[in-house]
Amino acid sequence: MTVSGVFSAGFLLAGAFFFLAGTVGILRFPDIFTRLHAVTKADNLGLGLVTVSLMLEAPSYAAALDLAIVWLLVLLWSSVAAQLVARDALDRGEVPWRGA
Amino acid sequence: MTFDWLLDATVAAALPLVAWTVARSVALSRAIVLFIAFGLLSALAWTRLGAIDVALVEASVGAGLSGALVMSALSWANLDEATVARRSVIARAFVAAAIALCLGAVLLGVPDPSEGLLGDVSANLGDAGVHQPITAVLMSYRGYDTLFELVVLISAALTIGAAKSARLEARPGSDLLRALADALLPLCIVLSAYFLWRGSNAPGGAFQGGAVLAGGVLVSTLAERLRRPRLTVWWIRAALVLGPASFLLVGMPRFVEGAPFLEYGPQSASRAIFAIELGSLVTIALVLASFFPGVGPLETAPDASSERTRGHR
Repeated sequence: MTVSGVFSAGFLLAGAFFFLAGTVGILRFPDIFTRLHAVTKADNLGLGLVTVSLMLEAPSYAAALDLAIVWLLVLLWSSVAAQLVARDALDRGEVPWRGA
Repeated sequence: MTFDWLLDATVAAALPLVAWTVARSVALSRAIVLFIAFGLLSALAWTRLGAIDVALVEASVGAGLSGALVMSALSWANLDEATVARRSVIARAFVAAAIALCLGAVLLGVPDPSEGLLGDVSANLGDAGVHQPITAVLMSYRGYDTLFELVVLISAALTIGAAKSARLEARPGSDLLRALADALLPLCIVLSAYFLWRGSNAPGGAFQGGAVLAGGVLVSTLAERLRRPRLTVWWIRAALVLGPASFLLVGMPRFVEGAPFLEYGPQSASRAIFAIELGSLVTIALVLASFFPGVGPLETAPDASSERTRGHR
């Protein structure tokens, strides 16, 4: 196994961990705002780590750049989507969780 | 060692599972979100089957635009009536069995092994002017089909144009959505041009490019950066018929000379197909974009508007 292969596997596993954490967050967190936090922060970090892992294994620089653009687009979109969902929930009178 | 089968098995198991949860959801908003997820999963399945063209269309039209269309329909549905009616188990089992029987009969009726026309298409690809078999089939060998498909799309856009357009309500976060739309629209324009350009020798083409462009226009319309295309404006009408018009303009000269209709000739086939694809892209994008937004129910009484923007106090 090459050095970049080892790094790639490490990033992939780290990314999978954050995806798992984000999914547990969606299932376990008490209200819409905390669940949004889990899905947009943990999952995007996980996606970034997976992207880095795939970029290390990419056949060309162009392919690696494509992957980076995919991640940036998801970041752009999900940050706006999280704000839209949260503001709509506030507008509907959803009360943020203040601790048990 | 390869784990490809693991990915395939996961997708194959997830598809019927998600389809089942869509059918079982009583809450319509939940069913719609799951339907979009189903579309993206089936795009993944098409990718695994090597059908990149189908995957692109499935992701952009099947999941993206159809999902948005159903979602916007939900926003003016009367939610009390819109919950799924419960029918008897026997009736559902009967319908399911009938559909399974029909599908099974069709599947078993296909001659095995089905050769298809891939051999013929590949053998004549040199004369078609493009190196991508699917583009060659759509624009050259079966140009008639595509021409009349575009006419069907245009008539759908005209029909929807007859529906009353409801005003969009101002929603929280519209400033953010505007910023996003301004970032995404140029990107969608570049991407659709790229799909169009790529279509001559790789997966892509007018349909995929048109769908991506329509997606960008849709986000801009939702963010109130663009207005819904008005069919009363002359240049919108002209753009709407650009696809069929380019088919006719490109196909006519050789037809007059005595060649079959829509036969482009080996020398000019490449340019002819590109011109047709460009016109078709404009038509497709405009038709898809004109489905959105604000097409509300025809009978929108003034007091029903509070129902439509449910929950906005």
